Amino acid sequence: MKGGEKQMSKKKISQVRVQSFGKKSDIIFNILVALLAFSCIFPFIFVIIISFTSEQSLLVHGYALFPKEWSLKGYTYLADLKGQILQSLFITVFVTVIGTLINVTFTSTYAYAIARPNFKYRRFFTIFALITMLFSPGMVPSYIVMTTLLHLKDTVWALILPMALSPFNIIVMRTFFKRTVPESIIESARIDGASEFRTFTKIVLPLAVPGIATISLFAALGYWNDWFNALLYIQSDNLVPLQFLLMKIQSNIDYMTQNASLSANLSGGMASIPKEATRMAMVVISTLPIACSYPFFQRYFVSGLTIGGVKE
Amino acid sequence: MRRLKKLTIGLVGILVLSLLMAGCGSLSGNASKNTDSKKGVTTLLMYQIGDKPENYDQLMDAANKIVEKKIGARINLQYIGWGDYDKKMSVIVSSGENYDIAYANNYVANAQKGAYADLTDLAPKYAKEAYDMLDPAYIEGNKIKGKLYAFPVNGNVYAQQMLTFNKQYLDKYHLDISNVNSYADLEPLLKVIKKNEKTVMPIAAGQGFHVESDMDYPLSNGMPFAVDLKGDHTKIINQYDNERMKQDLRTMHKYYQEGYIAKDAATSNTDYPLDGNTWFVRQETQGPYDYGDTLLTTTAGQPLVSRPLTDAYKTTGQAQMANFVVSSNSKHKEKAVEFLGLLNSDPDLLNGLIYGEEGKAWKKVGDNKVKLLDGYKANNHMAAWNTGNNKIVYVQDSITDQQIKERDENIKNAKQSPILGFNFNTDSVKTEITNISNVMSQYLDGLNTGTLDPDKAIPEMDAKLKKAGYDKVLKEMQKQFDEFRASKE
Repeated sequence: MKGGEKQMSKKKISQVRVQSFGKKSDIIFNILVALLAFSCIFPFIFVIIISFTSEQSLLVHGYALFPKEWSLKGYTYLADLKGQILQSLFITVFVTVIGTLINVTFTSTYAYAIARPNFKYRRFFTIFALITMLFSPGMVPSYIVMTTLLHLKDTVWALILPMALSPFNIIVMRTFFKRTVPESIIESARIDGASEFRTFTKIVLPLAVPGIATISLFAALGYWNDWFNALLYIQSDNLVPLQFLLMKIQSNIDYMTQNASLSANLSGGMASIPKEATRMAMVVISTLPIACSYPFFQRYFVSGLTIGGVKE
Repeated sequence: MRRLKKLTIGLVGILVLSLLMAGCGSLSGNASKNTDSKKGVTTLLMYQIGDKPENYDQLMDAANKIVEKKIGARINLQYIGWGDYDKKMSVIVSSGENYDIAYANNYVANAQKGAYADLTDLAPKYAKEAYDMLDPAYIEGNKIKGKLYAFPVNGNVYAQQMLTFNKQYLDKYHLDISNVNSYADLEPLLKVIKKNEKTVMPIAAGQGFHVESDMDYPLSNGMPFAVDLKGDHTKIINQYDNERMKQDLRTMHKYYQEGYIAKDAATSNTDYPLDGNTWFVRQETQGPYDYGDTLLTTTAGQPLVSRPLTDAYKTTGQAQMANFVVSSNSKHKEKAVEFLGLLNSDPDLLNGLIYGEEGKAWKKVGDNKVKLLDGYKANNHMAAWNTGNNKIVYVQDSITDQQIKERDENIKNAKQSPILGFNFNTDSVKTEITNISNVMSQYLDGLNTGTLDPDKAIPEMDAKLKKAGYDKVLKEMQKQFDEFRASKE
């Protein structure tokens, strides 16, 4: 009988499908999602294909999914630019890593403070952060602060500090702390004699890993893709991040085409512009690392769904 | 806990990795390396458009030696990329940041705003020699309400549009271009190329291509305001309603349909490299200092020949081609003007920048001629058109004295555009101008590359322009233009 019961329960588990879709609609949904996923990834695949297309066939036939002639020229040209590209990649990685660490430290501590109900000024500091979300001072005042007040022009900090604290992430983390870290746990830690700092690092942070992973991803993406701060503040060419390098090439091309009839005069500028395939190769190089870091963060997203099983 | 540890370990790992990479990277800027201030020597901060030459340090060392000796100053020359220049300079200007000299962007608007120092008196006083060498058209074309805010680079004061042919194809098919004077005359040649050369685009046209038809534009050639240089010199018109222009556009449309122009020309920014063989004919702007096709051929590294498409005129656009301005916030205005004077009058200084290192990139032959050596490379020198007075730039040894004489005579004889020096004040019609330029961005590339049928698109565009407030702007412009003409007489 007992064995029979076990079998019964096993059967029951395999029949849990009651709540799922029928086989037909399942297939349809799968196809739909597959199409959606494909349309997301297709442009990137196309870019990779273009980066392997020969320049001649790009000029004559335009972009093609199956180019007439394949070529590695785009990448060999990049190899010639090794110094510049590696330096830019280094700057980007440095800014992303250091910037993310700084951003996450500041954001999570700020958010934790305003999430605690026994913090007297929490309302003030919440609104203080919110205001910067609603009203921005504009580009010129921030530029003046950065250059004449802080003297950060043309330093690597000009790429890091402007994004060191993000009010949106603060609000996200505040809510996260409030929802997943019950007051009773913090209280019990205090009763056991833990200091505020110890409570934060030993009790609260481990519980908040999914949230921290989320805002780290936000911050890392923000730093990796940022080129505007570089446009404003960076003058030295050894401090140019990868994305700005790409941006610069694109805006140079736009300028050249707008002034196409001056090619004799602008030839110096023309000479510095990489060819189509090379540009696509640069896109590939600048996108791959951050795309590869996604799965790393994703683990924490999934675990974020299951956490929070503490009973009040 | 374990998760946190893993995350931390991961992050620290990346950090260590990046610090290892730091072995090959550096974190401090290299832009101001060369400009340590010396006692008693003023350092002038100068912004220039374009890409930094590869041997920048070398060029600047040589230049600064001369500048320091002659006027007791040093130059800190900072490059800002072609495409970024407008954005970056407008922030620098509106934040009031300190700089001394800059290549002017949006010259008229910024001068009206008061961003630039008034050079009307300073220039003749501190840069007399260079100022006297300027063609009068430069001063007239840069005056705003009677005041001069820029020190223009003396160069191609007049310009004309040319059709430039890739000579290898002319020779190959024995094509004769001596009768080509307009777009319409190109047809038989394009036919031959289209038929025989599958990998060659007959007309190199893309985004930004403009059909040129003897017009001068008070705003820019992308706006529908023009003066017909072959018609009434006193009236502002919409060039797209001009019959001659329409005829040219129809020709382009026909070429487009025949496949002489790329199918995606209106949206593509494919470049047809000057030194490549992917194009047959293109449109180029040439002026006196191009010495016919000499400059083009040198840059292209292959023989090119051109036929004029329009007449030569001294225009406001040419006068404002490359302006250097002094910031109104500069603390060294006089020194800055003095430097501009030196740059535009001292052949040793200027040629050292434009040709590169003497002895390695070039050597002097005769009084004012140079022979280029193997060390002369595209990225190892500055460009003449946006650096300094072309008159004192040595010419290449292939150019004869006869050509130089012709050049000076041509400059003297070139006609002046009726709108030379007319700088339209857009204050009262700003919204309308924005609306109009929005309408134009829908039609401009389509019409000029022949993608759209002018007989259908132009009436449609005109209706939209009317809605955008075209008549008001035209009236205001005509009014200001009439005042401008009255003041000149």
